[in-house]
Amino acid sequence: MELTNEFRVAVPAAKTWEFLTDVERVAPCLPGATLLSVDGDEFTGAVKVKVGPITVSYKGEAAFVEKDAAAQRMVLKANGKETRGNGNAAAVVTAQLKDEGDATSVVITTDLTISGKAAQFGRGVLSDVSTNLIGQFAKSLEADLLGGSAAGAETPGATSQPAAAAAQPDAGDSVDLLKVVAVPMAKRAAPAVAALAAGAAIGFLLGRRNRKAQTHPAALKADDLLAALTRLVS
Amino acid sequence: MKAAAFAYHRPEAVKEAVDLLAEYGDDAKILAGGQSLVPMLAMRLTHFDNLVDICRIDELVGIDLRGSEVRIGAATPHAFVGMDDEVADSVPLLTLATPYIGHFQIRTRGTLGGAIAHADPAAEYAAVALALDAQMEAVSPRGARDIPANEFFTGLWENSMESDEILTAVRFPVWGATSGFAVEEFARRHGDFAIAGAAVAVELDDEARVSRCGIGLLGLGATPLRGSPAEQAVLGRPVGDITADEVGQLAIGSLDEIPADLQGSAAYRARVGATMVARAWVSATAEASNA
Amino acid sequence: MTETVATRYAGTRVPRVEDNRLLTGRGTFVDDVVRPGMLHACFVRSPFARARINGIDASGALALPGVHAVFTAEELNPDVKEAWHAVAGKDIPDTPRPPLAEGEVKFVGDPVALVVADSRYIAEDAAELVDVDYEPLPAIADFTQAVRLAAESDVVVHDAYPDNVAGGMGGAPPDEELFATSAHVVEANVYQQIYAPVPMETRGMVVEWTASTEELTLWASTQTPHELRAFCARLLGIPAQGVRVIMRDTGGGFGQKVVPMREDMCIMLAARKVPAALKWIEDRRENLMSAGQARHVDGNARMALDEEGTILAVDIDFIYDVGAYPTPYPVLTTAAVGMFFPGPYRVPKASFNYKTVFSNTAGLAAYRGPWQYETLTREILLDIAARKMHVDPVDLRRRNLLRRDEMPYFNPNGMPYDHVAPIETFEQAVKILDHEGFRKEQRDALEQGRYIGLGFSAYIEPTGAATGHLATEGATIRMEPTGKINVYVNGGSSGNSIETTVVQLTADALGADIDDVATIQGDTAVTPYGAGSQGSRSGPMTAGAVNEAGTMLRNQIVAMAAHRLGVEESEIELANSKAVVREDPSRSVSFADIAYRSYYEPQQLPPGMAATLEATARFTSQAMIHWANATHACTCDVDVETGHVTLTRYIVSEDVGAMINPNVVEGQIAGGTVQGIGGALLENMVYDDDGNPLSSTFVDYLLPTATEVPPIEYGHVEIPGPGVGGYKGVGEGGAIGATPAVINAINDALAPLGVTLTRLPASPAAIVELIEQARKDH
Repeated sequence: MELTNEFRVAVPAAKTWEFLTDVERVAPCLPGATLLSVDGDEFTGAVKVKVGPITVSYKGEAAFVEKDAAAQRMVLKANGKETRGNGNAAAVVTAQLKDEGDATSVVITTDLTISGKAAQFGRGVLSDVSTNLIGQFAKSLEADLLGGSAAGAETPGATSQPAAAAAQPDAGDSVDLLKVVAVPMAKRAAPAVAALAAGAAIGFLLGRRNRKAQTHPAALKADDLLAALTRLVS
Repeated sequence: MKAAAFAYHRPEAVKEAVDLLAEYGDDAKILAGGQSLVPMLAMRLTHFDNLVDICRIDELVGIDLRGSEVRIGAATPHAFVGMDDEVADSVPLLTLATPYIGHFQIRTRGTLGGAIAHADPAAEYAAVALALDAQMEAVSPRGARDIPANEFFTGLWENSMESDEILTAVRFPVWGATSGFAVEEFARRHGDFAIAGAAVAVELDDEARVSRCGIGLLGLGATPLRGSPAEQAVLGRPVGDITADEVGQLAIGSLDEIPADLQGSAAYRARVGATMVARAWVSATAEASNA
Repeated sequence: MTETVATRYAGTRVPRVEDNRLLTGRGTFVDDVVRPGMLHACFVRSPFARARINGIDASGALALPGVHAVFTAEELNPDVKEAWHAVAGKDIPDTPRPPLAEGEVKFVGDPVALVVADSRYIAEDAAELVDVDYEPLPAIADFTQAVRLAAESDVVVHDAYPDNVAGGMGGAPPDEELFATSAHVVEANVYQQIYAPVPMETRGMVVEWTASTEELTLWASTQTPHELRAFCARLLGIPAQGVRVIMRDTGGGFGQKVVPMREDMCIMLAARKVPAALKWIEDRRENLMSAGQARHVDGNARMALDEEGTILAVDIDFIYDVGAYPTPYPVLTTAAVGMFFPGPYRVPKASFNYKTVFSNTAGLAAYRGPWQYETLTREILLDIAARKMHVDPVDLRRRNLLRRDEMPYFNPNGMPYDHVAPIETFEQAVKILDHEGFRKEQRDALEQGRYIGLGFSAYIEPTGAATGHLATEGATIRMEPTGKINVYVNGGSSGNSIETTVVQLTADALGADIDDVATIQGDTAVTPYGAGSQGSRSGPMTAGAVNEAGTMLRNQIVAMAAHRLGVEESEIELANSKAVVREDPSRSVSFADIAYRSYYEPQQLPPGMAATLEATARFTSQAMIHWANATHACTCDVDVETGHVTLTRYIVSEDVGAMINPNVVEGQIAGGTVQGIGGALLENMVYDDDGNPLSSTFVDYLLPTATEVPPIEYGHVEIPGPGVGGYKGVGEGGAIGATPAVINAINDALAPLGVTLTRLPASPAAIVELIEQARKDH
């Protein structure tokens, strides 16, 4: 299915572009993500999405297939397999930037396909959930782009539904990142939510911990993400 | 549909249960009646290395009328709640809601606390708790605290308790004599998840004006909800001046995240929801007027 | 029967002999079977509607303790020797049916690998660890797009069918001039959703290979034990003598268990590769997602009538979804839709045209009354015609239904109706309903803003069709040394009470007390060959077989008794398990004594008289088809705010000929009717745009329960069929007639609002949408 999210930030296009093509900065915006390895424009990672008692974990890879700075457009293709179960999530995420002087408008189009158990229930609808999820992600991106100010309330361009209880990382507190990454998905619908979330999320399974070696996911500490965030907001 | 292996714990006291949760953290889950959790485990939609069964903890089962409140232990089965005379006299909304909860067998095992903690948007008792401004009692290694109903439901199957807190009881306020109560729920078949439903409580003063109103909504969002705009709009007005349709429309009108799924579009649910509110309003006000 | 025996049990409501064990939880279903060292199977299934399989890595699964094997197509599929089914025959080309998916998965749920482990728990743990490298491909989730997608985008379900068309047929073309010039012409697009048989017991079997004797034993959930045995022997290339199928209790079949399908083939193929018996029992999600589905059709139907409402011609043009892996020869059973479309009416001209197309969904099974779409469409169309002509649908039907004196009647497609009187079952239904009274009630209700409605449907169906292996039925009846009677027939008892009816028939054939008669069925080592339960054949066919074997054995008993009592054979009467001298009942000899002499004192028998107290016969049906007919009538109340439909009365007026047991007849009708109601209102196997099945549990796939169905009222008309005893088949009719009766009732209720629903199911949301649409259009 196709999902579209838009937002507008009072940040120049160049900085927005730099942010969006920087794995390290985008990853923390993604709820439930951990990163594994990086190799140029290709990344591997894992996402654990929790919706109430239901958890779905995906492991997979993503790659930038297009980074057209002139056209201000990037395309990322991602694919993940359930680590427990035989489901799958695939996403093609296109971000189109539009320079508006001191501001940038960003349109994110996600083409998402979920398969496996999560996609086989009727109670709850994938599209509503994914809209919400990507909306949440977009909101986080927005907020981080603006330098981590709280709650992202002044974002008139956001067309996605507001999510409930999306904890924004705040540089001042000692953030319990495990809590951040387990932010509840505030829309209804079954495990579909989880998978969907994961699917879209996988699109941004990015991270850079150690260029030299592939890292065991457990080795990535919350502190590292916190450090990345702190750098971002300073 | 066979669950993956897990360790099963059966504490006999709340403290023991709390300690187990603290010890195992995310690897543990409270098991009450199991009517929601066990199917998820069997279908492998979820997995926990440890299940902490609280159904043998005596202090968690019980119905207690304490003056202006009824306190119900979290592990009290729906069937007990539904059959209890004190509940029928003091918190009739619970009695009226009970027959809508699944089927007889489910009500015999499912618990009030389990249903509320699971926080399904179509959970009947959750909507009642919201409508009546109930208080949830939670216990953790840090002690006990109350959580008001309107702060409890935070998202789809999410509640505001910390991961090491257990819901131990829910306290439902008892309303005055000139009140009326009704529950209307629409589902495809009796016992199915509500497509939309309403739990309405209304209290009238000596001049037949609405002195209090609580409207709990089921199936109309990611969580159970309150029909607050409708509640506010009817306060202080003579009950005869208010049309049921108006109440229905107001209750639903401000909702912006009405689900769409296999059973119907958001617009359809909204229509059914407004109808359920309207019908419940008619019954509740009729009862209050005759009280 | 002759005057030797007075019919005592046929036609009476004898309590079911199956009930004691079934109602106390002591039936033996597949999952109750336990064999020494038994292993358990679990399939790894595709999460994609269509994908290339680039590799399967089972190392993680094999490493798990308790896992014995993980089989893939490479290991199992080449062992297939022959895989044809008797219902199609060995020479008819069939659609592809590889045991495990080969190279490409073609629907969500497609079995890709078979895990064998010590328990189903471990097998499911292991299945999660099998790593399949899939490359997703575009899939066809919507069968109405199958032909277009093949042509435009090269999306093909099976390479052997590059246009995605499994088959099709057309009769003579429609008489367009007639349609152009008739006084009244009505037309409707009728779409029916996928719904599925949903037996209470899912598919499964236990297969045990004994290498030392080269014998294979199968305990199966099946409607056709003998054909399963034959199929298995052919599949594995082993002599059928070494294959034994045992079915004790099968918890419902409804057509989903008539032929063994791909998973069954896998278990049979794997059985000789594992060290002990292998059990497979699917769970409910598997059953809903990958066992046979049915009734998915989209079509256009037309009817031409003259000024007075006499039908002049009918035409139907439809496409039928057969999914990815349909049961054998789907094209043949689909032709029945066209052939029976004229129904029990006087129709001079009929035309039909259809295609069966593949899609990336599970696959078509022959669900109870598989041609139901013809009755659905025709009956909806009749009501549309009635409303258009401002006549009551009752009057329109009355004018056109066939009468007894018109038999035999050849419908315009050549179907030779006989032994029916559709107008009579119809009039009986009208009477039971009190049609006039209802119309008045309806007018009053409308004034109060309530919408109630009445729907009829009439159908005629072929039962007990005697073609090929369905044309004969065997029975062995044996009097045991104790004088008790055992009757052996092939089996297929899956909730259709054929243990009870066979016992009744046998008791009557021999004059035995019913408590002295028992039946043994469903064990191929012990029972005579039979085609099993399908096509509503068990009633008429076992009646014929029991009659023939019973006659032989009765004659023998009479001869022995006559000699024993010193009278002529014509003076002997059999009743209550005794042989009695008719004129002097004090002189008698019990069956027990007759048997004792025969088995233990055979030298007391007269010289030349065989000591045999056993008879075996194979009955060949003289009637090609036993036509049965019924009219269903249904009243409902529609809540126009929510779209909820409440059924208030349900009447079935049926003619299944003489009834062996009215309880059984009513039970069969009730079951079918409830399935039809489910198809009208509740049941819906939905696939999303990517081909994911969304109704994979009973939370989303809604079955009717006792609270959705009103008490069913029965009227019986007994027009004897051509077979022995005049019995006709009754298994499928209820499921055919119910869906259109309900839809017509809804349309009748909502007619004042200008609503006509022709796309099923009639869910509350669908009804509300139509109401709102109609409101806008006015």
